[in-house]
Amino acid sequence: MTHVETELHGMIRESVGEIAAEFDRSYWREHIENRTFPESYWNELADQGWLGVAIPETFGGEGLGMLEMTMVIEELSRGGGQGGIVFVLTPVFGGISVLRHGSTAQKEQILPGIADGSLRFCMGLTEPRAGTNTLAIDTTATRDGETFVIDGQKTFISGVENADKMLLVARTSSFDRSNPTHGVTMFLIDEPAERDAISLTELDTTVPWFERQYQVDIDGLVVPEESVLGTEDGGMYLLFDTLNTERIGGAASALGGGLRAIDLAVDYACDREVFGKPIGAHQAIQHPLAEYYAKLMAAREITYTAAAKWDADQNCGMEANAAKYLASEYATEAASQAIQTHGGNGFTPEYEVYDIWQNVRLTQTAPISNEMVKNFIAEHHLGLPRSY
Amino acid sequence: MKILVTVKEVAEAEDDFDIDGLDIDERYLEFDLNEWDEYAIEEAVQIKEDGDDVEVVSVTIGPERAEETIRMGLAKGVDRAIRVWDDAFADVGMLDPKTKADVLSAVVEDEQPDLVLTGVQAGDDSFGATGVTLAETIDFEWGAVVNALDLDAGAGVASVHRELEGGIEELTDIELPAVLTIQTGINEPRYASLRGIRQAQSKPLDLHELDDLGLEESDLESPLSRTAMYEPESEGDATVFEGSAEETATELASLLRDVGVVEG
Repeated sequence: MTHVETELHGMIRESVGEIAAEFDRSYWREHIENRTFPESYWNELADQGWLGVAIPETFGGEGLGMLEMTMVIEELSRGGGQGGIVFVLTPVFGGISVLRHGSTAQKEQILPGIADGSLRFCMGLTEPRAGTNTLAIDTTATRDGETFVIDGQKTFISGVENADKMLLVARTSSFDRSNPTHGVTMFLIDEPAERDAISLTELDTTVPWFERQYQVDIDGLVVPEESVLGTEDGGMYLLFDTLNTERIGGAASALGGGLRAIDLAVDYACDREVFGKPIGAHQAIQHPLAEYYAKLMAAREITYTAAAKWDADQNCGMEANAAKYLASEYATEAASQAIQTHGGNGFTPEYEVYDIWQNVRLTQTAPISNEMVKNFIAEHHLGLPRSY
Repeated sequence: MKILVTVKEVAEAEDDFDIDGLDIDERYLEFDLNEWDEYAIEEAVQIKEDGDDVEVVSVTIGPERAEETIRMGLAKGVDRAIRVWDDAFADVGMLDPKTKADVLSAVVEDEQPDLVLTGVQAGDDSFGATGVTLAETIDFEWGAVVNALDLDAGAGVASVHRELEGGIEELTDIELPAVLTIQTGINEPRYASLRGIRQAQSKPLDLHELDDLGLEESDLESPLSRTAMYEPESEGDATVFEGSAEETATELASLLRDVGVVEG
């Protein structure tokens, strides 16, 4: 238990852990092999109130904060399966964005659906020519009376096939060097996979993941002006505002994955006997596991600090970025060590650790690379000159 | 209608443990709600949800540590909880079923429930006798090892299935007030929802000491005491296969060959 934890948090951990444990490895392997959405898992999370953890009670949620959401994500990841990062798209990015920047109508229409599990989000941000540099996006939305016409291309967009809404980022005014963050707008697109003006091309990726990845081509998509989230041309501010919750959610997911890798390695090291005693009795096995566990515990502290600061309406940019960086790095090290602990078994599908490594390794690169995270800390917290 | 559910926090030992005196070293123990009591709580909460004006109260004899476990019961729908404890309990160590029943009967006297649900047994000392002993002490009707319950609160009758030895079931009508000991599998215990967890934070959880119940230290004198604790010799090894039928069939085949059951 950390310094910010209460009895309520302990009960949250226990209950979420019980749900995660109910959905075992065979359940997840089936969904990964068939690339199908884990409906029964998602419904269980919705029924028990977990998807609405940070949505206000007036919109059908439970009215808690980012700190509790962080613990839910961490425990889902630690309990196995892929619940952690799934949370980041819908309750974190969709939920927080609409809660902070949506109109009353948008909140009433969307937030109850997130809480009851009936509404799922995907994020339409990354483009072939504008990976990290969002300002360079080529997708445009041109105003035509009370509608916008959207054209462009997005890539590495996950979960479009499961999404009821896409948060789409497009340029509504051309780039102005004197006011660089002006001119980008966020749109809420209904049923993106069903739209005639949107075509999907599936991309092949090797991460063991149940969602499909797509190149998304948008050709003359007409949307009403009510689908603007926040203000026209003001989308970058909205993105900057909610990115910290994405960092925190991503950190929690990586953290849970790393801790799961350690848990599995410890179980294996206690059971596996070579030379007459459990391999875990050797310091060469113990010390690295202890080291990565200690590192993950430290990453957890700064993750919770970031979440608590967000809840207290304080600037958490440094902590959120540090949490994302440290949790993704330490979780990858921990998973790598867990594979090493398993020996040859670590590379077989019977054991989970190689899958965990692939998924937590991804968190160093997506949704934002750790290099950019360090750029943020260097520039905005340490006051070093902008390097890019 | 009021239902009193007696619950116990039990210790579960890790696979490998050390014995420290008359107990398992606490480092190897994890504390949780007794499995049977999970089902008793669920049964009571379901009766509450199906009926009008039903109050569910849980009672436990246990130290402060048990409050976390009790709070989880509140999160699953119990309305309020009573924890009975006093330094005298810590000094006594082991409580036999009759002594426990005497303590619980004092709570029954205060609460005047229509129905008392207990687990069939506790997973740690497995006496399996406290519920029935309590019924005898308070002069309630009783039914033990109940695996189906249909309550007619208006008529004051519980129609129950009781699980007997050899796969035989007994169907009995029991008049209230009654004590029923609940078997696992009677229902599917729920998870605590986030709303339940939040509500549980403000539900009453009251501590009753011996004085509050009109009891004295001498009431805790138990004719049973633990004299030794040891790990029995294992007479055989069980191998548990995990995985799909295809994978485990291959493992089973090679094991059968290794131990000489089949040749080749």
